[in-house]
Amino acid sequence: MPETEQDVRALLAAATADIPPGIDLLRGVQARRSTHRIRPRITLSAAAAIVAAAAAAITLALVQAPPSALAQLTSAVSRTAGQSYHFSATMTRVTLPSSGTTITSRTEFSGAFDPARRVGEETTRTGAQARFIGGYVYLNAGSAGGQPPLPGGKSWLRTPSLPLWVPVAASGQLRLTSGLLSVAETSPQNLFALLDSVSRVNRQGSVSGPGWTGTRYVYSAAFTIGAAGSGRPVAHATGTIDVDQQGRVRQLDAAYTLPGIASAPPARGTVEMTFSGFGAPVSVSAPPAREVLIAGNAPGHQIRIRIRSGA
Amino acid sequence: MRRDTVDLDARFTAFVREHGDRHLRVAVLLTGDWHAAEDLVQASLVKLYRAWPRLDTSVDPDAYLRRIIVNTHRSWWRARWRREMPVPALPDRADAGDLADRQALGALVRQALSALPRQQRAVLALRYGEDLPEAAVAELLGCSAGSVKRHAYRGLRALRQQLGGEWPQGEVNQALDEQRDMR
Repeated sequence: MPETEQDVRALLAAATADIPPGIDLLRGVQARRSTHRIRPRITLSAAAAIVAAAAAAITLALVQAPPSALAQLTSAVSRTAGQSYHFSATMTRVTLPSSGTTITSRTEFSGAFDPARRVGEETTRTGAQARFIGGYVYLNAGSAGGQPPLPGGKSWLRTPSLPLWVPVAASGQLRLTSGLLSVAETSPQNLFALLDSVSRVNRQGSVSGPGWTGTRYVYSAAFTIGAAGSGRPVAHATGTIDVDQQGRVRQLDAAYTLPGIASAPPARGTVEMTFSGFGAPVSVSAPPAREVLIAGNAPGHQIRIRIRSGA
Repeated sequence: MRRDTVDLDARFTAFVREHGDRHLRVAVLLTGDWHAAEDLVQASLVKLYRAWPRLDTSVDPDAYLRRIIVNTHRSWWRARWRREMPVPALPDRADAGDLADRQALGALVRQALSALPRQQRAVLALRYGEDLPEAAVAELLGCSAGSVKRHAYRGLRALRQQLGGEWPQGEVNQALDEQRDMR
């Protein structure tokens, strides 16, 4: 057998090995078949057909279809993104430059957001911080090594932040904050915006956590990076979301692939995020002005701070 | 429910449980996306179910379903029912490793397949994913064996270009072994 054919068989096997959970062919077939079962009952005599059709119509009207999985998930994400919350997360990321070695990182971080007051903060285990206040984000690299020092002895960088506070169900774009701490790309508010681009949702079943029970959903999403309709590359994400009985997101897991964007190489990664403290106060203040370097006024200004592997 | 309907449902259900995943795998090679593949297979299974009472013992339901899937995918593609987004050039081979890496590899390959023209993708899926002989692929796609050869050659060449000319052999072989164990 030619080597090339054997190679492609192996690749196609790899491409089909990971059937995601939640796919149930029989359930979907049964659901589709149920929309066809009504028809045969109407092939009767004229009077009986009218009665049968009326009965079928009344039956259909009386049956209240439960909200779809997508509707329930959208509602949960909207509710969670609209109130204050605390979170903790683990993120892995593999950056794939066209030349040179891949860059692998793992980051653990936590924080809190209050969308109503337009504030939020994130801190990594090494002490790197991002503080989101209105239209700006303040960055401090903490003890992460290898970062060039800021000029003038400053310890904070301020840069405009693309909106994090836009309600879910907007344009379906992933809104990246302006570069910054890599974790900011997976800030909860960004992830919630990502979920606006969900194309598939299935209920997987019941789930529980400390002090709560709820439902797990499996989703997939595809979204453009940048302005809608601009033909920008498409990124993909799949994962699960756990929603408690109060309709709040408790756990959000995502595996995503990002295509290369301008000078940024392609990347792939995972995020596992746990939510708590709904409605609890969130206090975030800007750092002292003397410690802050203002990066510029143009949105999208990017400065990357790499979190080294093991941070 | 009548007894013959019960029997039909039981046999159909058994068929789907035993063979469904195999057709789902071919469908994901055609569509590039697991959930689009799920839609495609489910729609095709509904058609198979309607035809099931008329199938006689000489008909192989696997082959019948495969034909339905190929034809349905072709009509969906023509109707642009599924938008197909252009994908950028794919990154270099990632490091071999854990389950997440294998899943990422699978996603990369599916993305590369998605970038191919429909006929090339279908030929690769049926010829190498389903291991059908050229004549069977030609009959399914309604073209000549020569066309199948040409589409295969061009598809393989494009796939190699998409994946950077370096086939990540380590995790690929592992995935192949796992799939063989499942069959």
